[in-house]
Amino acid sequence: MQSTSIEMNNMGNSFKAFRVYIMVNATKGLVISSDIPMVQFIINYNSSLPASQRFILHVLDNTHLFVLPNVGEMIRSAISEFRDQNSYEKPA
Amino acid sequence: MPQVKIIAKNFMDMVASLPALKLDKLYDNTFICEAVLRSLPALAKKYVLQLLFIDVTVTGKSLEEWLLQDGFSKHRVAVDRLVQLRVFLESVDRKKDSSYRLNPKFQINLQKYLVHGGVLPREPMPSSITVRLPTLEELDAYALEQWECFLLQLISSSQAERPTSFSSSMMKIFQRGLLSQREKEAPRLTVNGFQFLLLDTNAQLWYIIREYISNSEDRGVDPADLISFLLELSFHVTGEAYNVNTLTDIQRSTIKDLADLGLVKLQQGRKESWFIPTKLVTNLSVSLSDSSSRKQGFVVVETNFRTYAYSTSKLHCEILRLFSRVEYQLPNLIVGAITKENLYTAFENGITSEQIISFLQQNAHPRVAEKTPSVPENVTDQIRLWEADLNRVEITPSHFYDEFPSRDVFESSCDYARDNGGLLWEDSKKMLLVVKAEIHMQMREYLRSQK
Repeated sequence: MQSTSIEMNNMGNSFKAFRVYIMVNATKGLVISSDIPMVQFIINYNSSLPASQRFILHVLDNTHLFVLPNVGEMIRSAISEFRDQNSYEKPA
Repeated sequence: MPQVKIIAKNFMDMVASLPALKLDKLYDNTFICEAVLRSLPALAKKYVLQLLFIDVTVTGKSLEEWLLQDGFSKHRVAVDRLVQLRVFLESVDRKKDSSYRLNPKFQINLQKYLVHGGVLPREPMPSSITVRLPTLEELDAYALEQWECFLLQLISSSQAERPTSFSSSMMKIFQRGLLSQREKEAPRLTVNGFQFLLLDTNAQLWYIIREYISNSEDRGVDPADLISFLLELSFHVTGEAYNVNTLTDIQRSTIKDLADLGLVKLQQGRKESWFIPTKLVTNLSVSLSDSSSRKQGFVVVETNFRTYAYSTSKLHCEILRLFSRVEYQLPNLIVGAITKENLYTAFENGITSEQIISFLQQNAHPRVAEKTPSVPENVTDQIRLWEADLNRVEITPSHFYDEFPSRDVFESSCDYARDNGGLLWEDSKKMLLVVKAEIHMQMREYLRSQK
């Protein structure tokens, strides 16, 4: 997981040592927005992967997920594979 | 997905983009004035007719007096179009008020047209010389055959039965927007190519003509001459023979190309040769005014997703293959089925469900065309559902913020993100925030400026 911390050290006057730190953690990634069954599918797909390849960082609610960047294509191909399993092509 | 509007309006835009001198020369021809009039939006037509017999300039204010309250935007569109085409000549006085009058040449010609009717520069030839004149049905069949052969060659040169006499460089120019040529691969249709195929014949015709005229300068032909010739042709009578020696040299070389497209038919007598305009070219002027003539449809779509196309044309077969599985081809019938797999292929190639549905509706066989709906609702609904199925998941690049030091900072960041339109999700209890990637930099600056 990659995280970038923004550390801000706000020095007002040099004598009055009145420092205020604002440390908010910012993580870069993708928001996946879909319907509930599809989100469940993605969560299931995530659990089926070995721990080093899992991509879900946070489950925001039952229609939104926050995942690692660059996994968009992987998710889309997993979804189309799933979709193709439902199709039957009559042999020519 | 790019939406390309390939309609006659583009042709008129091309006319409007000619330099002022050439445009005024064009208005010498009565038929061009009539064609331009037909292509105008409805309000503009009304203005032209109302000012037709008025010789003085009319102020813009008095034009606006004719309007109801909510017509102002249409009024602006109409007036802008008229000024663009130099039908209205605008003069601005010291108070910056504009007043208009009709272009005098345009005015005189249109008045003549109203009073005398259009007089063609050539008379049809007497029937004693023109033997073997084709009947109207034969002419229609010829035109259709030529046009389809041309289209087939346009999309895949291997499929056409006989090559047209268009040089390969001309064909390349026509194909430019429609096909993508990759090395070592057969040329594939682009998104625009697919949309082009599913269009009305008139729209396709206008597109090809526009490309033809745009390239005429490279071949040394003046586009204004070509435009005036084509528009003149569209006012001729279908099925009548006109002598070729009434044409100028440029027009003579153009007429050969037009014969290849199926717009005219060339015939040779013993001493003279003549050309016969077909329905395709006379429809050009009709289709300017947005009322299209419905040709007979040929497709029946059943509620079990099977399609029956009563056609022998290879082009129709190719078009149906774009989005359905063609199962049998009989001497007068093409049987197919609309399947999910074929539709997915079509969607990947850039065709939308709306285009497929409107193609099926516009080409519905007369037997089903009277019923409403002409294409069964379960078929149209299912096509739209399948298209939606491909877009179930939306992915947005974004940033996730947590570990806010205080609730105030969290609240103010939320408001800042919301004001900038970048807030995607927030959780007040746990103080978590997700914003779009585009405003991440701004958020950083904002947080930095917080004390």
